[in-house]
Amino acid sequence: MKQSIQNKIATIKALSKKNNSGAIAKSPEAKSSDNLSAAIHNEKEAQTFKNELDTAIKLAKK
Amino acid sequence: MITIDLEDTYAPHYVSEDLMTFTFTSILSDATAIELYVLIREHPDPLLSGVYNLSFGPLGENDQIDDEIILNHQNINRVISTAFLFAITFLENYSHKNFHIGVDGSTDVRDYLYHRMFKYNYDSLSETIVIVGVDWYAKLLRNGKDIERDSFERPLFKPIPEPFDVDRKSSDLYRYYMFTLKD
Repeated sequence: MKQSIQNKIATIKALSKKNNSGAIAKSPEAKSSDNLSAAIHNEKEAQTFKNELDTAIKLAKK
Repeated sequence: MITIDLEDTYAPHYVSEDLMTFTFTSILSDATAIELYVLIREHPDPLLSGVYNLSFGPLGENDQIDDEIILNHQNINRVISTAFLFAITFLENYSHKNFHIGVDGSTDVRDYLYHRMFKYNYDSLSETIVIVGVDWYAKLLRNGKDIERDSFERPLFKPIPEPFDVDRKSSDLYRYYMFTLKD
């Protein structure tokens, strides 16, 4: 990762630790379901998916 | 075309302590300012621990992110770059936990945008993150004619992830996109 990006990340992380980082008026929520949820039916499928995801990531890193 | 430049981003107004909620201001084409939220939330499926969803947009009804709204930003590149910088900040902060972030376009238009964004920024993004596309597949039964179905006779789709294919046409969208830190 570029040093300039690391510096930006460090700045954002520092802001997160400040109490005065400006409280937001509302507690926003994301939507409660998505495409991936609909295609995972049980724990076995979830584990299979995670294993395949790890393999895909290793392949992508090559 | 969206150009991601992680060095050209908006400054956050608010950053939650857990680095899962951010706000920043974008300027629209008509010069009005709009506050945008970037949310990183645990995937709603409890079976997928370690997977988080990224969403961003203005607040809509019921304090939910309105990720279907169409806005004309003066600088859409900077808006998208900002959302991704925040997501990467989250991943970096929890790098010891090896989290993954998913993006699920709420509409085909947004999925198309994500696909083109990953495709045309693949080289620059790959310096920082690893991108994966997820397709849905159904198993062909041994009779060679039908596919596996659930108890309601609906096709039983299963997600198959693969390294993002930059040669894949933008018209051939993945169903889901994921990324994680490269190192």
